[in-house]
Amino acid sequence: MRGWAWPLVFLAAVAFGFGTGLRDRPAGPRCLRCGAPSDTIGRVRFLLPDGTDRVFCSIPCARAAGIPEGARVRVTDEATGQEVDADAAFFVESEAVSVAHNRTRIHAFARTTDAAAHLEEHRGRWVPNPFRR
Amino acid sequence: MAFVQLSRFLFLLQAVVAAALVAAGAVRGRDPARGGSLLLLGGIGAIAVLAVSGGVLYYLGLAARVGFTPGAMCVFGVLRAGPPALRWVEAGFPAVLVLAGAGAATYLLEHRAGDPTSRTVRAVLAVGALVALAHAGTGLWAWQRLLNPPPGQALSVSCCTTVFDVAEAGSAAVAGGGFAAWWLWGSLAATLGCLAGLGRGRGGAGRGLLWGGAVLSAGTLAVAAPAVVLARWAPRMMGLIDHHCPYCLLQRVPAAPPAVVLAGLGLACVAWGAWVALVGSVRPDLRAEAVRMETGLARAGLWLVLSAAGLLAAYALGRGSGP
Repeated sequence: MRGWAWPLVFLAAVAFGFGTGLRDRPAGPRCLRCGAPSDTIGRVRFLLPDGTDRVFCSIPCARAAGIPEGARVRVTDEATGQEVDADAAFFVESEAVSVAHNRTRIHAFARTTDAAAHLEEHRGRWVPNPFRR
Repeated sequence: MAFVQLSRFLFLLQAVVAAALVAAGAVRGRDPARGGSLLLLGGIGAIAVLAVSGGVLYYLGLAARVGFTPGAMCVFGVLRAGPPALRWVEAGFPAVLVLAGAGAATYLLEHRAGDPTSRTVRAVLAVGALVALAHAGTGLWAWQRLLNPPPGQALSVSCCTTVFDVAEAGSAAVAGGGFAAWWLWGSLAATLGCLAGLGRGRGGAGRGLLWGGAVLSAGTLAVAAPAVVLARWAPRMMGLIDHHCPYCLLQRVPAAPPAVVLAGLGLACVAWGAWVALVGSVRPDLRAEAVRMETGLARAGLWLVLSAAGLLAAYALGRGSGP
């Protein structure tokens, strides 16, 4: 190959890498476990002692990732979309799917009345806090 | 299934070409003046093309079997559930390619120097042709066992996540991540430094030492690079915090396959260059031509390894740091 050809190969490789990298840049927050969008109704957030956080799309993904030492677990109230401490939330397992891509059937609620209404409507049952340590 | 059948067909073709190289006298020697010479080079080229295209079709075929393999989530799951020969076939592709390249380099070296095909070329080709034959046979046998397991020996149930997800089982790549990162940068710097020195084309006693250094550092680079990429970069590139599977990386990250090709060819250039240097040191009549050829191979290796590293770095830069 001629002398100038190899630098061209290098530049083409760098351009290809940068281009595909830009294309793959996530548009929104992603689940750290499965890579799916994490702005779902089943979102779970670990607040770490160092001030950073880890966001997951659903309760199964967050559980599978494991709770880091000293982290606070925040789940999303399905009735309002607001975050609430997992220790203060009510959990129901029902026939309704909250996160489609992994078919999550566990639902979190901030108020017991919302949880009871969901349980009634979707033939659910009470389940303990999945993040209890 | 079409990929599987095509892969089997290419293995069959590889077996035929390799057997022809062994049996038809090309390996045992043929007078180049009678036209055997070009046939020899054609045979080497055919083996190299079959190894590359066969490798691509092999993985496409394995990917097509994911849905038929209990518990498998990607190619890795099929490899785990299938016969161990599937792994030997994997290792065989680069081996056949390196041997074919070594045969071609030696052949070209002698013919550029005006010599007929020598015993050295025939010996390299004999080894290469036999390895290609064994590789093709193993490939055919492995496909047969995967598609039709013997009675009472059904495929084992595979489970990718228990191997590659740290939360479940951990992995050697992650365990060695910190040390491997330093190893990677050191090996990369040493490889590029040696190849840059050799690419300047100056003769002398130092070239042997530089080739030794290049082979050693390229060898350690070949071990460290996959470990670091899988341990640290793959989870961020794929956006999966605990996932360290090389096959998922190749499927999900578009920068990964060309980077592997560039790095593989670059490391192969180091092997071929060192081989040519060895031939040149044993045969003083070929030394001048050998220096020319190994200089070209060193330059090619330098730019190919640099391009692979640049491609991955540019991808990480373009994608952003966090998943």
